[in-house]
Amino acid sequence: MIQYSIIQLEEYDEAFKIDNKKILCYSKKAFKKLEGEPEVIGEVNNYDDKDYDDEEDKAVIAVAKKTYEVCKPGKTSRLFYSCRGYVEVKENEYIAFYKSRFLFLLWLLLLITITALLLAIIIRMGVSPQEKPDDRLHPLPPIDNNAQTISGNDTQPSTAVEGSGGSVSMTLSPTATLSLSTGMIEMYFMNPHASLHDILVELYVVSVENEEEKEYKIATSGRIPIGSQLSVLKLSVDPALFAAEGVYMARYYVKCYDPESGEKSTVDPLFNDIKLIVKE
Amino acid sequence: MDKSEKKILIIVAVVFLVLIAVAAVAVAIWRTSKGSSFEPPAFDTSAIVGTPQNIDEHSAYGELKLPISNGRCTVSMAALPTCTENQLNLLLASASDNSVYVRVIIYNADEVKLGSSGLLCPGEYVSSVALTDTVESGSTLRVKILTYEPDTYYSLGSTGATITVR
Repeated sequence: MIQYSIIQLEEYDEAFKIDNKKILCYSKKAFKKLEGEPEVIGEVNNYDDKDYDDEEDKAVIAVAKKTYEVCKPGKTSRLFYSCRGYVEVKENEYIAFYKSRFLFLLWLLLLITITALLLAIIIRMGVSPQEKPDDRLHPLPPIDNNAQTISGNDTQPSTAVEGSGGSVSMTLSPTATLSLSTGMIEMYFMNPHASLHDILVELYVVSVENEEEKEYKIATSGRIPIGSQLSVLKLSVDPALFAAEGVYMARYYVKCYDPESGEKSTVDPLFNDIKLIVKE
Repeated sequence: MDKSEKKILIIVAVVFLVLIAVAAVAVAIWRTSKGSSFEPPAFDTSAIVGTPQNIDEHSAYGELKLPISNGRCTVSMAALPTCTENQLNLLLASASDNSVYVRVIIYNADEVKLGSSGLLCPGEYVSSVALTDTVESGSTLRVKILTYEPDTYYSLGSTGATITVR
């Protein structure tokens, strides 16, 4: 049996522990820079402290009163073991110490498996049929650029008027203010979270001509999704059509769309007695 | 595990997390775009310009007026149609003064879709609608009538009618 012992050198730049005993050694980097063609004559990768006295063909190295088997160079799997460092045992002859990568590889495998599983679930969700072929029967009008999502509970302004159309409930302000200079109408319309439909609002001015009521559409919103509110509308007609500043009678028509199928309710809820205040 | 291995594991975990997040976002975007996309139904290739002739007097052929956003839409069909070789002889017609496209979807009593027509322009009709399943005489079917705004295919309202197969 060949028994090696570590030559302690001041040049050692690395350290590792075996059974809480610190072992000084060359790092891989430092070992590569060594001059004089250093030779690795053995490797240690098994840290079972056994009595090797009876095994004549073995080589062992003594480290902190324990002996570990030294195997021939190149016998240690580079995949499952990583080099901790090199110690000199004779002039220009070194023994490399390896440690198992089992735990590292296990964690890596676990990470890869979890990632692969999650990716598979995500992709499966992506390719699974999202909706029955008949679910989307119509496209939905585009969402109004000024529609804002309602955060938290649906709170109502004190001036609110409640209305309903079928299963649609909504909150709106009974007044709207048109600025002729900007062509913008300040108003308020809320489609609460409890609503079952996306809505689209049309604002009409009502006038009585020859005892006959006529209505003129002056603004149309984009779609206001469930849980959203709208506080501004753009005038869609020539401001010159308004003869003067003042208060005009107006009404809202609300178109209600099923957000899944895109179907519009047959009846458009109507909100009368809206005061349109026209200003310069 | 030493520090370098822990570092590698952390880097790998972060890379994988980013990968998962990117995949999730990509799938979400793809599904959103897929969900919002709309394939307009095709026009019915068997549509004929005009109104059905030689209507069977037992078919209870009649008009349905749908209140739609910009007026009315009139659709005619048989309330007691016959069904031959999976062809439901509905005699579906869209009135010439309609301003919308019309289409019907046929469901059985269990709300299972049996068939649908293509789009009909105003003044067109189809004699029959192909069904995917055989329906027996006396079966009750639900006809969903859909209206489409010509330019946008937005819904202008829909209605349902119950018919009985003779």
